[in-house]
Amino acid sequence: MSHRMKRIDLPFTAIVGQQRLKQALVLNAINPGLLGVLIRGEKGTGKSTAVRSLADLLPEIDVVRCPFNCSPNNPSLQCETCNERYMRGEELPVSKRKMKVVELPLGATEDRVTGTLDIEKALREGIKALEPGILAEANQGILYIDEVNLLDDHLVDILLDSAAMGVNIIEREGISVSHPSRFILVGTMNPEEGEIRPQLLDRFGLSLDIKGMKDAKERIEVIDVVEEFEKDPETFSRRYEKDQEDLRHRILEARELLHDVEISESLKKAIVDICCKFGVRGHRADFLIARTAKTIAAYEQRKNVTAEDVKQAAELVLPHRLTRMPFEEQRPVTEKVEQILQQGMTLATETEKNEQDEDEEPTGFDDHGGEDSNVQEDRLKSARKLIDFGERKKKTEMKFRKDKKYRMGSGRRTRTLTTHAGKYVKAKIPEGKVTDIAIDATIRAAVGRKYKLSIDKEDLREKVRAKKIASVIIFVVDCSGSMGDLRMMNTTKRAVMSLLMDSYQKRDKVGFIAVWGYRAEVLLPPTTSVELAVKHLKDLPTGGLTPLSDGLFKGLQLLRTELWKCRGIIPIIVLVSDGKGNVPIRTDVGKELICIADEIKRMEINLVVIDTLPELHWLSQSGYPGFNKEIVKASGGEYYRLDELDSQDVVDVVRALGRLETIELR
Amino acid sequence: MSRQMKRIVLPFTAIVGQQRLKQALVLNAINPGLLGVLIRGEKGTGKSTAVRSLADLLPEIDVVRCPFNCSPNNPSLQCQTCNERYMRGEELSALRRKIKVVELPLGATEDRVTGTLDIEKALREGIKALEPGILAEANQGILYIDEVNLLDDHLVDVLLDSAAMGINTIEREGISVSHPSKFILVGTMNPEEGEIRPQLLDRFGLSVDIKGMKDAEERIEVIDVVEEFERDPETFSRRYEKDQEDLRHRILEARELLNDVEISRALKQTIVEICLEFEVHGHRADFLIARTAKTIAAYNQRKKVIREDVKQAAELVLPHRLRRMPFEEPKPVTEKVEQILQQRKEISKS
Repeated sequence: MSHRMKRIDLPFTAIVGQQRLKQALVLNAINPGLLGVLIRGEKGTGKSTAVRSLADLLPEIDVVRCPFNCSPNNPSLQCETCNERYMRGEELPVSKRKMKVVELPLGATEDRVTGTLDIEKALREGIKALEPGILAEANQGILYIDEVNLLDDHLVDILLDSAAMGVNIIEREGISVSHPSRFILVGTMNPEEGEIRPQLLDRFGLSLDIKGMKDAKERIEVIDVVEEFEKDPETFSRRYEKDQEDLRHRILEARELLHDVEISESLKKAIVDICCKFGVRGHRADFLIARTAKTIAAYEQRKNVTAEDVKQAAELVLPHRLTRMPFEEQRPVTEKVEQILQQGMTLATETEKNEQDEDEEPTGFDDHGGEDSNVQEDRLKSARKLIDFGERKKKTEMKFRKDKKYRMGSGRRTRTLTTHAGKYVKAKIPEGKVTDIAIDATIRAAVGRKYKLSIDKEDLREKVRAKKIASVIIFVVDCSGSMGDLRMMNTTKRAVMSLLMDSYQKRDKVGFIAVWGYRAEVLLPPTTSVELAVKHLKDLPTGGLTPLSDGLFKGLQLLRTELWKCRGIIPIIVLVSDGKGNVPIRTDVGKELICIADEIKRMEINLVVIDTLPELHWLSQSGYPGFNKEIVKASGGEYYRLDELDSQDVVDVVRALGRLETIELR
Repeated sequence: MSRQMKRIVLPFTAIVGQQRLKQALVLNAINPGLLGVLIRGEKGTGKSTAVRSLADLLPEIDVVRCPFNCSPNNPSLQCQTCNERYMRGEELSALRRKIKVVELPLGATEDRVTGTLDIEKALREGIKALEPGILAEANQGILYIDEVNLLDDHLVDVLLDSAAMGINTIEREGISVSHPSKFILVGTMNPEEGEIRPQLLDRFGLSVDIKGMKDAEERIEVIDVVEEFERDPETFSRRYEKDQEDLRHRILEARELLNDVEISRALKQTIVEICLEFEVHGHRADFLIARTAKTIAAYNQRKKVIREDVKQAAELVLPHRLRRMPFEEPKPVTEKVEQILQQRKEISKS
């Protein structure tokens, strides 16, 4: 059952500016071997528009009249049926049609992505047939995912598998089918809204960052184009028909020429040198740069690759493959590459880094897969090692301290997950009582078994909902004059970054509130984005008074909102301070703090107090000068002292609070 | 299956104060391309009243007896079935009614929003059919989302996507359908209760910050109006009939005029400068200000956009697009915009 509405897209050639973006997309249209492109940019920069507009420019390909869009002459891109017929020497019914852009919509469920049992066929004809899904539609085409960094983990896994193997294997509801699924992956994302999983990042051949344009003239042009297009899409599109046709033609010519493009040995060596100098792992970057450079040459209707081609290629291939340390701005790729190219071909060549034999087939989806799909993971590991985490205290010491905690109540809190929150992603066979029935899967199970609609207990399936955020951790940090301690700041910052770097795995959100001046300041609203954290926490304020109760209160408020959004999260506040609050929200800091701490306890929020006051300091005084003890008592939280912890310990403490077994929300 | 209760709504023109809010709503009614209104404010400031009053004010529409509320004569607002019949020259039976306000309940789940597998049909006839959801209901109407910042992110995504495209695409539970979904989007939120994702924020065209009124006289007027209205809604409404009719007429005329409104290059330049000055993300603000300014001109029955239009437009488009830290005082949009407008005036004079 498929109805599609027609939508007129803005002509590609009408897009103002954004040359690199257009180049990256056109290059992929010429040579699918470039393995797609990831477009990162702030909102409103035309990312999605450009991708959707690309469809009109795509060349025609030969496709078997088969639900899986098989290739008529490439056996590796044929389903079983087509392949059998091909092997028998049969001529397959072929039609010529444009390469498609298939969009993966936000609410897609797994069955629509992989394909599933065709219920109607089963009921009417009594046969088990596959109803092809999006992965079948996208075969030999482009799979477009908007906001790819927000894609549900389940679906990401499915995509990664298919992308790696070029095959989609379906084992469900009594069917067992596999079909070819080779597609170019194009994704867009806003980096401020969270990171993308490294394995997925690695799948993209090219990547680029785009921003809004600063040039006034170009901006005015954008207004003009949008206005005119909205007023009358058809007439507007017709004006660009010639330009579109020219570009289409150029793409076709480039595809023809691609076979004959040559790249000199010296440039190959330069490429290897570049990858070496940038510390890029594995070989994929090497051959991708070469391939991309060739494609650029072909587009420019040249048979030989120039240094400029290599430079542009490197700018597209490298950015998402660099070792990036937190607190470091994205290294300017261009300058360094230019440098290397100018120096001419140099050293390079450990025996490992020898040239690959690139496949120049424009339609080849050959993948040098299997290597370093965990490139990004390794990179982050080494990045972590490079960050100075300070001296690690012995674990036993810390355990000892833990026992001396001043706290009441249980340390670890679990949350009961009672609501049907979260996106329905797929179905599973229930264990125990079923509360969240997946009707569609249940019906399919019943029909698949009996070829008629009668549902028995065995057919019942229940919904698996998307894993939501695991923990939301708000750091409330005392930055006031009395606490301008550099070590404290650094430890805290590092802990925040460390938690965030894991966040794409655990989907934790981290926020940061600075306690200083007259009112506490939310420097970082809860986010999963490392970039955002770097941006906002780069220079922490210091000085002023200590509005401690306001800080704790704001932390409470932030968590309240997050809890409204998703009741299944684990809310955590990490309070780093000497407890010497001196600016109240209304009149009495101490009272306010206890009040807020009570509320924290009532809402079952986890509180960790890290006391920055050195023990020696207050032992000499008459009693403890700050409010930390009272806070801990009222909230039932945990208490540690900063001079016993390094940032990794802080992370461990937080993780201990968040440690729940795999949550599958019901 | 749909009972319409006869309920008299407070006339839009009787609402006290809240000029900006009324303006934003009216502008969207003239030009849905303004991508909706986000109303930021405390509780009890008349937000939902205003929206319902708007629906009541707007001219009636023709709607096919179809679960997707298709238009009988506009192909871009027709589902596949209606469209096929239309193309074949069939006459689509329609009824005329006021536009609907569809409210999104807070606990709404995705299947209710996008539509989902029609279980009855599946069980009885073994066929997969779509049970239309809220996005189908809202087609050609107003979609009102209260407390949009508390909504599940992916739901807001789906809603905003459809709002922008005018189409709802469903790929779930074995169904693959798309249908028209064009509506005026109105969302509300209380900023103290948390932020909304910036990406989502940007997709709301206009925003209005409202507070309870501070002016004592206005507050008294509110009490008066509410009292009188509740006492005798019919008589009260009749008093405003002329005003309502005038406004309705004005909206219709503005819609006609809209395509002919022109904005000078100099003013476009000004708009660009404003956006650069405020360091907005991306380009949406630029063309939204232009579009809004044109709509304001149309509303005032002018074919040319003037500086004041741009100023008002900026005040509606910019507030939720400013780059700032949370809890920071919002930059005074009006003053800065006036400044820039003044500067440009000097330049063009010299």
